[in-house]
Amino acid sequence: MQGKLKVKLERVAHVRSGDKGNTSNIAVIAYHDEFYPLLKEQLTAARFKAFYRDAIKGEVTRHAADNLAALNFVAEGALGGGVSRSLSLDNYGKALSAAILGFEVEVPEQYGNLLRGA
Amino acid sequence: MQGGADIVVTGRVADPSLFLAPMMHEFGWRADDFAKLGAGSGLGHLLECGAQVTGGYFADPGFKDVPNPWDLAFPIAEVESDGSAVIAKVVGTGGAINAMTVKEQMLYEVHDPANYITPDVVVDFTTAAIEEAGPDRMRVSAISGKPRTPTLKVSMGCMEGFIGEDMFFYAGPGALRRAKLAKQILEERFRIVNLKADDLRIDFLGLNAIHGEATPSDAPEPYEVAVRVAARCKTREEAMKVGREIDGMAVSGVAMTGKRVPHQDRTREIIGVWSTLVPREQVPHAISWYES
Repeated sequence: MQGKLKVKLERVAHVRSGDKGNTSNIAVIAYHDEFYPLLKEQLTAARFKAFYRDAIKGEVTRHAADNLAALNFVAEGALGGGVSRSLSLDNYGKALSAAILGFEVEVPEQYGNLLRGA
Repeated sequence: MQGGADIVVTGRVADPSLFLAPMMHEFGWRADDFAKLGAGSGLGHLLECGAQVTGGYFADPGFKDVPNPWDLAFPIAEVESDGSAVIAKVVGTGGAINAMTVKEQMLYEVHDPANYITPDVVVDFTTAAIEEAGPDRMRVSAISGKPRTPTLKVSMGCMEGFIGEDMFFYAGPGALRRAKLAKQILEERFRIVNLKADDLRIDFLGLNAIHGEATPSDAPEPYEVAVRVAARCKTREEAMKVGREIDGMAVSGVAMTGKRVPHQDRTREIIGVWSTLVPREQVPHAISWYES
């Protein structure tokens, strides 16, 4: 039986967020193709939404871009009512993607040498 | 552009249109060749945020390192007539172009990557191929397109009232417990002065002012905390109550409260944006010439 490593998402994928009105999109991109199926299985839209708790008020939709080894999460109601009227300090939600880097992912030990960072 | 225009006046376009237009001009792409328009708009999307594809908004030390990030280059797209391109930058400049920077920008501000809607075409990024073509050179090909939608997006500015905003500070051992009492005092004060706010936030900058409710419950206690207060109100007079109550925190609040000298920009009027779709035929184009 192959062992599993529990690591933060930051060692497995990189992220970027963008804004449209009151909706934020957070792209989660695997550092290696080997990691992508793990993300697809473990980082579901429901878990993503639960991880952000009430910081995302509306629905979360997950779009898969297999060719980019990337998942794009579209989070409605994540920007405090919209960029220009929001009381958020980070009006555009450009730092919002960073939170998901703390999501815990299980990685087979054989991929341990592919992990980024310490 | 064929007539040698100095200035081009457009109808409803989006950011990538500014890059698509010269490609259409140079290669003779037709306005209904949606495969080509999709490829060109997709490349335009990679370029439209400048250095966001050459290492800007990207560096994360130890994870994603960027050489000389203080000297970033604007991107260059060496476009072929089939709609593929090499994304490059001037040799010797700072920044980086690699599969990661290209993928991040490809998905930036995108919802469904198979259906990225622009006024010109619906772009499909899920067919794209990205490969290295040399140091800081990435070949991007096979972005595709689908017919444009029958609607255009219109964004309207709406008067949304006034935001009153200010912050004050705690530091050293116990900073957070003093900040929490300050928050409680302010909440009671706002009740006493009958603050009528459509939205109110009192956050601890350094702990939860950026990620809000997504902040982990076991986040470490910071050494310094700013209490950041913001309220959106219907009138300027209401929004000014925020600054007035925070002024009182210096003399009537919690021990060891740090504060800025009151400044003038604590209350500001805000214009919100409301967007919807309208049928294209409701947006006619016409140019009138006036000479004197």
